[in-house]
Amino acid sequence: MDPNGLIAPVNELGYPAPFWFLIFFRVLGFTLHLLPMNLWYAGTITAMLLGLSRIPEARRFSARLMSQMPFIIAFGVNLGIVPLLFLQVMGYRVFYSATILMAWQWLAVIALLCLAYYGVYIYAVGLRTAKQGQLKAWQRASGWASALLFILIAVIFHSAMSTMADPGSWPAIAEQTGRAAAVYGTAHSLADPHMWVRMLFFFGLALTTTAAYVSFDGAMLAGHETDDYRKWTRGFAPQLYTAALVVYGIGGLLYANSWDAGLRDYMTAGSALPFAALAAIGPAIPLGLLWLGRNAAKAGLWVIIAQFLVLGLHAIARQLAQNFRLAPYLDIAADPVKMQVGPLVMFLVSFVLGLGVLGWIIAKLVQANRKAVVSGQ
Amino acid sequence: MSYPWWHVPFLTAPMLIALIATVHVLVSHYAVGGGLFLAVETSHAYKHNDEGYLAYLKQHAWFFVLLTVVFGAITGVGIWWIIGLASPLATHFLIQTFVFGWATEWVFFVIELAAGFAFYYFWGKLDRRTHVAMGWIYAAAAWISLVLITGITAFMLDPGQWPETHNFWHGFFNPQFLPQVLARTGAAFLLASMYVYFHASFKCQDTDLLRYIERRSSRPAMLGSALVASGGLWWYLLLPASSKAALQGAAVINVLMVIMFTLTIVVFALLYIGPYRNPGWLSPGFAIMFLGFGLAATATGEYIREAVRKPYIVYNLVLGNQVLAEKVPLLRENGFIEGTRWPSAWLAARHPQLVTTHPDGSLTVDEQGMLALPKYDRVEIGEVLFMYHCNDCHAERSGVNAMEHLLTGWSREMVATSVRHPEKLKYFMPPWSGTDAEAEILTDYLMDMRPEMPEGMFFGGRHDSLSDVQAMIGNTVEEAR
Repeated sequence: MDPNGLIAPVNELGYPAPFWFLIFFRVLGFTLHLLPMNLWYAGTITAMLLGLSRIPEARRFSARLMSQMPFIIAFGVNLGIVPLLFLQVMGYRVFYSATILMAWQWLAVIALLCLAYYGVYIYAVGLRTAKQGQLKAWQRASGWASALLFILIAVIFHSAMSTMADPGSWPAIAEQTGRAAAVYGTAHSLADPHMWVRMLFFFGLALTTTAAYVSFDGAMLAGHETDDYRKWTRGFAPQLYTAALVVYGIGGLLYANSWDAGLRDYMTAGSALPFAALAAIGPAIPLGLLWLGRNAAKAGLWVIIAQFLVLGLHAIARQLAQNFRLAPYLDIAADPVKMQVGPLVMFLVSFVLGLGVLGWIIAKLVQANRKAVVSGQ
Repeated sequence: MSYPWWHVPFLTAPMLIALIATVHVLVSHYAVGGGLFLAVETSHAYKHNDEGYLAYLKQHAWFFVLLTVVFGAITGVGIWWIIGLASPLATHFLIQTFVFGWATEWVFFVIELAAGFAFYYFWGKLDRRTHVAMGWIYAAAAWISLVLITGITAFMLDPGQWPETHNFWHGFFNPQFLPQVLARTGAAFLLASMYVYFHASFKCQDTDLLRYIERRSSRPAMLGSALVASGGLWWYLLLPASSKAALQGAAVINVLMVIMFTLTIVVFALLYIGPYRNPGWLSPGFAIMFLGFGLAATATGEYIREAVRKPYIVYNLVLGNQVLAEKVPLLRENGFIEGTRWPSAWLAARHPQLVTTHPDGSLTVDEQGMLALPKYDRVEIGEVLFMYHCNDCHAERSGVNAMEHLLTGWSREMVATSVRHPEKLKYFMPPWSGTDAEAEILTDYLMDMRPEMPEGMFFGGRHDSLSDVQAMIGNTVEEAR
């Protein structure tokens, strides 16, 4: 089969907004999603490992992160809606086919996420109710199961995005996992080394976000905690970030090595070079802030902001690489634009109002938290 | 059809949509009604300084968060996942049309989450006024998200003026919008009370408080029942003619309608006689039965709502087999395989001599050559046609509406007539969207699986000949014309 013949045709309905608007929200949404998603992906396993530590502050961080994890997951899942929505608007010609090819796995994400989420709740509730901090074996097992399930979910997502960006692989997949031009939806990319090195690279990035969050937690959220705890976060965060960068670096090199010549040229010498270079060296900024700010109480706030920018650069570089890989098959900027002005305004107005309401809620919560700290609750 | 067809043996892919969607709506309505319950009741308990009731409400809020924020939210994403897999063309059509409706709904989801978490986790830390405000923000955001998604799902049943104008607002404020908002709001009230009864009957140890909860929650439940009934009636009156016909004509839907109405009446009667007039009925057994009835009525209603759209996914726009209604004449003229991506690519790979690729990338299929193939190859191509044209509703040999069972004893002529005029055989089936040659090929495939009449059947000494049955069907087709 010719993969070009498998790409869905351009839909006459057209894009409901200009291309730049859609791509902006897709990348912005993905960046916002990355922050919490990195935390449940690399953070859960890190917290579970730190829970085994002999250092009380490490165990304290583990408990804190796992207690916060239900909120992190809730907002992370929610923030994932935006990039996926705009991906479906702009990438419909390849997205649906790629996910249908691996439909059972893709659908399994829902069940796995539900289990992982409840596992985290079981662990977090256990932390709240455990006597002398001793969780029951099944509660601990739930935490470990969740950590592993999040990694499994990451495998599926990498598999789906790799399949989507490589329509050239579809004919063979359809032949192997289909019948009568239909597919059983049992394809996977587990044998694709490209996917695994990409995953390693991404895990390194997620670990850097976890390290940045350690610093943020100590600086901004640990008002109730001891000075020793806050001091520990300032010491541990740069160490973890450095270790994460080793994983990130090895993964990045292997990942870049897995690119074909065209993509390598584009990312290292073509117009994508500035973004690729910034994405590669970007983590040096939060790392520098972490090492330099070891004695500064509020450095964690700047570290998380810098990490957010790093994630944004990654989202841009990733988008450029994806567009390049798809370019032989389709031009995602070629769809006609049929503006939906009224609905667009409705969205933007509700977005701004929503930010206002969120700001009010956060302000009230911060205020209540401060009162609780002062009153020693 | 621009996407590969996902073949789910036995069940068929669209049945997975029904499964996930039904489970989701049972929680998502509670996410709306339960939010309103918590806002109203917490406000009431604060006003009367009722510490016992507040303690119960906090317990209920935890149950609410665990069920709606986790299971409700994830299964909501699950619906999105499964419709993209089992119904990609219609999903894309809806997303392209309503992307900013969905994006706006997302904003309200975020507000819901933040306010919901603040309401529960800052219970006792926020001052009472702010705490109640969080509850109301949650309730308002949840109801607005219900309104937004209803505009889109109601569009699927009747897109109103949208086909002429392609205007978002014409599509969103479609004829089915208000009836469905009314019915769904009612369902949210009703289900919330049922979940409250369920939770309170197990968790509330104070008998007086339990009676209090029982009485207070009976009023919104009865209001909910009234809204469901009036919204349902309004929904029925505004249904497109084809949906009304499907509602009246399909035996399964008939049975489900009877079940739904019976359950709704039973629920209303139980509410009135029990919690409303004679508080004291509430026990775990009663609550489980009550919730069971409510969930069964809601699930049945959702199934009916989906089923009456047949043969469309989006009325008059997208057919159940992922064909755009406006493309049917073109596909009949040029061929189904020629007009669909994956089948044409498959045919070009399997029988390259039958497919000519033009410089602009378009294809021409040699249909006479296709008919001249050996039977094995024709049956194989027929299976491709079956997958893409029929498998959305029909399993093959066993399972949901399995063709093998439906075709038992049919003659070739009967099968061929049904393939060419499925919409005449059953008006809720999509029309044939291929050429006569392709109809022949599909008939080959169906005849290959068709079982003979079961042996040993006796009809009063006279065996009905297949030609008699065929003649009867032929007459029906003519009458329908």
